[in-house]
Amino acid sequence: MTHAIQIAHVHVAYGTSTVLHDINCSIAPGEVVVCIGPNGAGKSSLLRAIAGVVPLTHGQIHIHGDAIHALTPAQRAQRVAVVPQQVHMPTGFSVYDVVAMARYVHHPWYAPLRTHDHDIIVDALQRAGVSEFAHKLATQLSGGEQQRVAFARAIAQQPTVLILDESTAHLDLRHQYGIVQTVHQLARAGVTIVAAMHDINLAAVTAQRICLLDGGRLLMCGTPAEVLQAHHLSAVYQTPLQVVGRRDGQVPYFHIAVDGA
Amino acid sequence: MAYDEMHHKIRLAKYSAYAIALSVCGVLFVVGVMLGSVVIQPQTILAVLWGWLWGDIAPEIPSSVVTIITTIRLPRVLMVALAGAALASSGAAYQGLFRNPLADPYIIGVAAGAGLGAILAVALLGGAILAWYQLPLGAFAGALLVVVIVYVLARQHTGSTSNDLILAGVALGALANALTTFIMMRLGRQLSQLLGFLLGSTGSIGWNAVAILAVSVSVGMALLLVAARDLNVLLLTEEHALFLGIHVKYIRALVITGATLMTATAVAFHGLIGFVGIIVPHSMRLVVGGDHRRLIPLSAIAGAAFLLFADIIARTIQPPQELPVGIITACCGAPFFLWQLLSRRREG
Repeated sequence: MTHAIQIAHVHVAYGTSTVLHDINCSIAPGEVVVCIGPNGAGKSSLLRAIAGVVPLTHGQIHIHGDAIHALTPAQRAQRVAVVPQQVHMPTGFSVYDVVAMARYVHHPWYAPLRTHDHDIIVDALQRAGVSEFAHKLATQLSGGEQQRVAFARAIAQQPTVLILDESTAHLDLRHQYGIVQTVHQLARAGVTIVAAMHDINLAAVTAQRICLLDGGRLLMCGTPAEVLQAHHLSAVYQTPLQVVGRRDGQVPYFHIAVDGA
Repeated sequence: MAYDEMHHKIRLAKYSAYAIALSVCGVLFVVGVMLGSVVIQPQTILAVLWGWLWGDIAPEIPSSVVTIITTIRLPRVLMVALAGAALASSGAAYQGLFRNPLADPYIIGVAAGAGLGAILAVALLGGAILAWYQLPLGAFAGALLVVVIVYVLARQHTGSTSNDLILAGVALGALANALTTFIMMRLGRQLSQLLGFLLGSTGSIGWNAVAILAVSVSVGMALLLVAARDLNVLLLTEEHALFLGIHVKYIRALVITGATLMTATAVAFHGLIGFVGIIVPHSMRLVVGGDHRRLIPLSAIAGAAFLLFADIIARTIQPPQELPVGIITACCGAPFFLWQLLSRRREG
């Protein structure tokens, strides 16, 4: 079986500083993988490498058998969609128009969007919970709402691989839950999900597999129960962590072990 | 359904904006041909135009009137309209490319670069024996050099390009203007003629110039319209545009070439006319939103109308003297620009 994503011996450097060292990982179609690790661990760099927007100094990344750097930007965008960490909304565009940008890549510059595209856009707006804002100017939304618009846009690309870079960071609990549910729905439909998260407990309920990164290296990759162990995480985050409970008797919940807690 | 209703409204707004802009443009065009040392009635103008197009001018119209219309006023007014269209639509395109609503060809130094290129062409090649293509070609080279330098300087940092862009543009524009003034002083004898050039003079224009400007506006507009849809995505930052499958380098090249070609040719024949490229796209954005597929063509029409209006004022405010049209656009544009700065500051 072809892997959805195959990462082999990947090194990435910005200038003289190497941010990813020899990353190896294979991800199956429909799998939900979450990368965790402290700031500067290389999570975003890894996601950007998978999206094909940073050059690799060494190694290869294949998406469904195609080398990501051999694809044109249009071919890449039809396979991989990204919800970026920093969302920018353009002035003078409605939310609908912003999400519609996801469909540009499917048509030449002179061709208008079709009814089929319109249906995909409306569905994406609903899945991301932003239908009610469709007519509003995108710049008038709050940070969390804008992040959901970016999520809707990524869904409207109809990718086989969806990358979420801290995409739940600005969201309240209800919408974090909504995104996690949508992610699971998409995964069941065969979309491969790779996300970076800071919230370990959210990662635990989202992921089928967790990759722990630190200093540009992939330290561990396994089920949440395997990776999320207090001694591993305390060492990597350099913060005393404590397990306060387990979901299904397996996946642990953490909080920071404040003195006397 | 609500979405269809919304799109219907947008279509309606778009078509009525086009219709209004075109009508205003048409009226100002006729008024522009009417006014001058001899005032010509609109029906005479239409009769001459009609007859001239079909090669059959009614014999009761005096030949002096026909000459005034076809050799002086018509090329001049066409030239003004084309320059206005060029500056406004390239302003809209630069604003999209630089993700900055203040990126006007004048403010980012491109117009000054074009002026320097044009003056250099005059100085090096000699004004009298200038071939038809040398002036616009010199202007295009100067403008392209400036826009590329400004672009490279401004995109060192990701995200907003506001401050870097304006600083780089102002610095390079000032340098280009200083060099232009220096060359003008050296040229001495042609000073008054060149001064008119720098302040935006619209006099003494022939059909050749109209033809050159018309061709470069057509080519420039075609390039911008091909890039317009994907330029929308570039507003999100270049990396996000890549995520959405946009061929960033290709779109960037199209926009820079198209907008700079139009700006340079307009400057080559008209001199420096500021603020058209900022007032017009900004106002049109309020009417039809940010989508460049609507914004660029509408800005072109409205830009033509605005410059026709400024030209009419420049000719009639102090007859028989003609003011450079750049003075009028600056008087309208500078307060607008300051108001923009203040309202941006209020927004935080």
